Order: sequence, then C-alpha cells, then structure tokens
Amino acid sequence: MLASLRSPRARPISYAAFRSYSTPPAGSSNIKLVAEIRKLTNAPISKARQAVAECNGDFQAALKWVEQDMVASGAAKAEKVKGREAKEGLVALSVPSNGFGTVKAAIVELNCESDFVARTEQFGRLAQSIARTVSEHGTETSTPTFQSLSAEELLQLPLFESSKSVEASITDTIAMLGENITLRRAANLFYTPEDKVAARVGAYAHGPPIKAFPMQGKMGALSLASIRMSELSKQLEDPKFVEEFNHINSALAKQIVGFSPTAVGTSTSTDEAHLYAGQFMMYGGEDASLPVHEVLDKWRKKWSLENFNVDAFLRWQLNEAQ
Amino acid sequence: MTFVRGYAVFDRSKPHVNIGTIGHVDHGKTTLTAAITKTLAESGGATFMSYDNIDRAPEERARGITINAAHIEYETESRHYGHIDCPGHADYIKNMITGAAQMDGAIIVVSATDGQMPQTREHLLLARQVGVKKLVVFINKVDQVADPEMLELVDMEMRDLLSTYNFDGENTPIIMGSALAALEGRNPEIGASKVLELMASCDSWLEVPARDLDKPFLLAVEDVFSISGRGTVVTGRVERGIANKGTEIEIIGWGETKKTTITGIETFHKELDRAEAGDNTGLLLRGMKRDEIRRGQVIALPGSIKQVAKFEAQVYVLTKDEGGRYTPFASGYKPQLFFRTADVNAQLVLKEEEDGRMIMPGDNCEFVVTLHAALAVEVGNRFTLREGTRTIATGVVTKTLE
Repeated sequence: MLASLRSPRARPISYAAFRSYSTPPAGSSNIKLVAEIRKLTNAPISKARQAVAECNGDFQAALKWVEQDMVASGAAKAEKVKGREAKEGLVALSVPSNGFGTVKAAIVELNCESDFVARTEQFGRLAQSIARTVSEHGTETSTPTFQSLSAEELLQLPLFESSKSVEASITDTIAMLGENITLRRAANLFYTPEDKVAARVGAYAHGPPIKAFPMQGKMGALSLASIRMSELSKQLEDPKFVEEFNHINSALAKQIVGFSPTAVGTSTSTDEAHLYAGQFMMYGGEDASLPVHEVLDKWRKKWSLENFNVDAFLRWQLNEAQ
Repeated sequence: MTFVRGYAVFDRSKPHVNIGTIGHVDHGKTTLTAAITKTLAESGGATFMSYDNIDRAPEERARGITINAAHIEYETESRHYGHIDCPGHADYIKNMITGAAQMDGAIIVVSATDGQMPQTREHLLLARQVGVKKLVVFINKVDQVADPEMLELVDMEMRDLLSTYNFDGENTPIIMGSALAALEGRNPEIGASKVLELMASCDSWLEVPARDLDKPFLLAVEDVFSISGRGTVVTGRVERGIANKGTEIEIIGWGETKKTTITGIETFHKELDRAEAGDNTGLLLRGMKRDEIRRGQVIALPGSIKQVAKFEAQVYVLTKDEGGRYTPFASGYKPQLFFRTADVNAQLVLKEEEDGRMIMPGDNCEFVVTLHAALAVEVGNRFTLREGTRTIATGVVTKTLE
C-alpha cells in the first residue's frame, strides 16, 4: 500500500481540479499518515483524517486519538444503528476445558445485519472472544446441565483477555464494521462431576466462514456425556480409550447439529426426534447404521463401564425462533 | 416479482449485460440504483424505481430455490442492462448457481466518508466467486468529504485492494459522486452527470457476453426417430449457434464421438435451411442408425466441446422448505444427476475434504463430481441432483477435469 502511495499515479482523478484548495506540502505527508492509521485501526477515513489534523501530524498521538474517538463515535454509531434488524451472524462455541475434571464450555449467538460482515475476521474474532468470556462465567454446579445466561448481564463483563467490557467491544466493532451487532443469547456449562464420574464435551459448529475460527458457523451444538466406573483414573490413562471417547463425543455433537433432535431420549425411545433413537450416522464405520443408544451401549460394554450416557445437549441455529 | 413494471420500451436489439450492485448497507447501494433509473429515465432508457421499491428485495424462486433479489432493467445508448441487487452473500451465490441472472459485471459502492471497510474485501471475493471479471467502483457521498486528498486516498486504497484480489486495479474505472444528489435532482456536477459517467464506464469497461447465436452450434438430443425413406432424425432444442443443411457435426456423449453431416432440418413439419439458438428442431443425420444416437448426447460443431466424466462444481443443497432433504449427507454421496437431457449416476466428493465434514441442507459447497459416463460438459453448465423424483441440489460447473 505504501509503495503505491509513494509512486504518484499517472491517472488523474476526477477531483484533481480541487487540489489547489488543499493544504500545501504538509498535506501529502499527512495523507500517508491517514493511510497508515487506517491500516492499523480500520477507522473510517474521515476519522483518521480528523485525528491527523487534530494532532498536527503526530502519528502516535493520532493513533491514540482514534482509539479514544472510537469509544465516542462508536457509541454514536451504535445508537444510530440500534433499531436495525440483525439476523445474520454466527453461533460460536468455546470449550476451554472439555472434561475429566471440571467442564467449561459455552455457546453464544452474535448477530449482525449482513452475511458479508459475518464473514469478516473482525466479527469472527469478537464472537470467539465473547464465547470464551461466557465459558469463564457463571457458578459451578455438580449437576450436568446448561445454564442459560442473560445477555444483558454478560454485556457488562470484561471481554476475555481484554481491558474492555463485552459491550464496549461490541460498540468498537460496530464503529469499525458499520452494522448493528447484538448478542442474542448465551449459555454455558460449568460443571464438576462427582467422584468416579468423568464427563466430556462434544462440540461442532457447521460451516465456519473463517478457517482460523473453526468453532463457529450458522449452527452449532455442545453435548455433554459422562461415564462412571470404579477404576476411572486408571482407565483415563489409556490413550486408546480416550481417543475413542473423544471420537464418540465429537460424533454426538455432529449428530445433534445434523439431525436436530429435540431431546436425548432413553434406551427404549423409538421417537426419531430423540437423539438416542436416531441412526448414529456421524459415528462412521459399521456401527453407523445402529441407533445412537445401541452404539453407546456397545461401547460401554467394551470398556466395562458402569454407566455411559448423554446428560444434556444444546443445538443453536442462527436466527431461529426460540 | 411483486412490483409493477412501467412503460419504458426497451430496444432488444442492443447487447444485453447483467450487472449487480454490491456494497455496505450504509454506503448508498440502493440509492445509487434508484439514481441510475431516475437519471436514465430522463432519456427514456429506464422507468424510475424509488428507493423503497428496490429495497424490498422480493423473494423469488428459481429452480425451486428461494432467493432475495430485486431486478431492475434500463438501457444506455449502446446497451440494455439487467440489474440485480441482493441483500447478502448467500443470495448472490444462489443467484449464480441457479443462473437466475448471471452477473457479467458489478458495481462496487463505497462511501467516501468511510472508505473501504473490512467487509469490502468480502464484496470483492464474492464478485470473484460468482465469476465477475471486471467491475466498476462508485465512490459515493463525495459531498460529505471536503478534502480532495482524502478522495484520492479512497481511490488509491480501492485500487490496491482491487489488485490484491486480482482485478485490474490500475484501469478499473472509479467514479466519484453523490447518488443522493442525483436522486434529488440537485448538484448535477456530482449527481446526474456522475451517474451518466458511471454508466458510460459500464458501457466501455464491462464486456458484453457472447450471444448464444454467435457461439458454436449445439443441440441436446431429446429423442431419436427413424423415418422410413429418409433416415434418422434427432429432435431437441438448439442451445446455441446456427447450423445449416450440409453442416458437419459430431455426436458426443456417453463416452462416444461420431462424425456425420446434417442432411435436413425440420421445425414443426416445415423444411428449413437452418436451425438457430432457441429453435425446437429435428435434424436429419446422414448414415446414422437410430440406435447409434441416444438421449443425453449432444449434436455439436466438431471440436467445439469436449466430453468429461469429472468436473468441479459449486453446488447449493436445497433446504427442506425448498423441497430438499431433511438430513445431512457426507462427502462421497451418490445421487442421480440431470444435465441437459442426460440422466446419469454421479458421485460428489468435497473439493476441500475436511475431516468428516458433513453437508447440510442450505449449504453451498464446492464438489468434485464424477459421472458414471462422460458427457459434453463446459464451465457454466448447470445441473440438478435428485433422489427419486425429489430435487435435492442444484449446481454449476466451475472447472472441467478429465
């Protein structure tokens, strides 16, 4: 970018005639600063220019000016776009601790106005940070259930690894992307199982727009499964066992996204809307034609577990009716 | 479409070009579209469409797929334009796959106050993905930027970005103006005259796609008859080009290629000298037996098309609301593929195979498609995928392989 700024373009632009109005020599060095500031901050061109003018061409001061202005102009922008419909966006998952001990996982839905914005790195990063923030929130329980969290309250939390609140971070992103952004809903798992029980989270997000953030897409699911046995700690040292257990869990999350079950069900379920009753297509291999509960049962017997069941799951889809 | 068409009478002999407008919601995409119709309406080249009429983006169904899109048409002195405006990325992709309005070019709208934004790159990537090779940039709201150097910066940044995404950054026309001024009929130096300049740039920079009539002859075989005393006649619709009595042709498809000559052309029981794009016609072929030609093959000018059994395609998987599947499928899936008049077994493998990725109704994916037998296939050809009688996906060929 700078290279092209240095080389004057042969092509005259239509407003060249106005050039005589612009500030003499200082102007052209200022424009490089404006370009640099835009590259670093994504600030609107009018703001970047104002910053350079206010700070008399001091680059560091102008950068600071832009950052400070982002708060005020972002708030004004957010106010302006507040009422606009935001039904695109992402469902994002975060699983900082997937089990054997305390389970921490979160699912959030962050909305914006167009799917163009939902595909930007900035929006993806924000969604991921909010999901991570939510995974660290809430009260620890000993019951394997999801906690639904109020989006209102979450807005006040400090964003993960940031000095700003979730709300302020959303406002900054609004200022940068110019679209209304809203946190529609959030839920998490913060669960420590009792002795001799090990829990594991399965997570799957469908169609991530950016490879760097695989845990987000138009839909996503978290599943929680647990096993019980007396020789648990020894069992968990067997890498083959752990590998198979992980495979089952990610297959469960994928199964939930793919088939949208309405409930876990029981081993006697015949209702196709129950997770347990459906053919476990996402498990792969020969057993993929068996119902989920049979696959689980087979695996339980294989490793002589006292118990193996799916405790809970959550499947969210972008802009769905709740 | 729900809105009422006006009385503009378009000259259909002008070359037709389809363009789309892409840009950030606040940058004046819809205002510009309205301003184009208003400005061209003054010379009788359009019917004025108000902002609200365009903004509604009615839902339409093309090949059973729901697309949000507003269609407008207008003409300049030299061309007739179809103009499409969609609210999102997904709608433009669906539009491309179904061919509802193939985009030959695009106008990217950027506000002078913001300059390019992070999503502008997504706009350019989309243009690339839907096959747009050339575009024109409209820098809007220039009256809100007092400093001309800033406009120069917007111009430079856009050119750099265009080059980054393999467009011709150096030569792409960038027009600076105010769509609102044009729409409100004030400040013609940044309003109406800039809109006219924009359209003149579209006329000169965007390329007219080849007309069907100018392409090499091709007819997809629908049926084959044996007429005693005359020989074998194939019937079908001429997809493109012109053929005369005596034209040498090839019969291509199902892995076979045969050469022969057209000895007669008949349309609705009338003997004709030539068949051209759009005609439903019967071709009498020299020295062919009825069982030597089959439905699904094409009659084409020798060397004009190759048959392949493998190609890459962009595919949209219909949702259950669109009559598609309820459940996902995996890479390696084998549906029935319908293409021109052919019906063939096919296998779909994801182009970028990710570990155990599934394909859900509503997804857009790139697949490598392998046909059970080779057919005459070209980039841009469209096909549908079915399970029994249900259409579950539709796609467009993006690259032929072998």
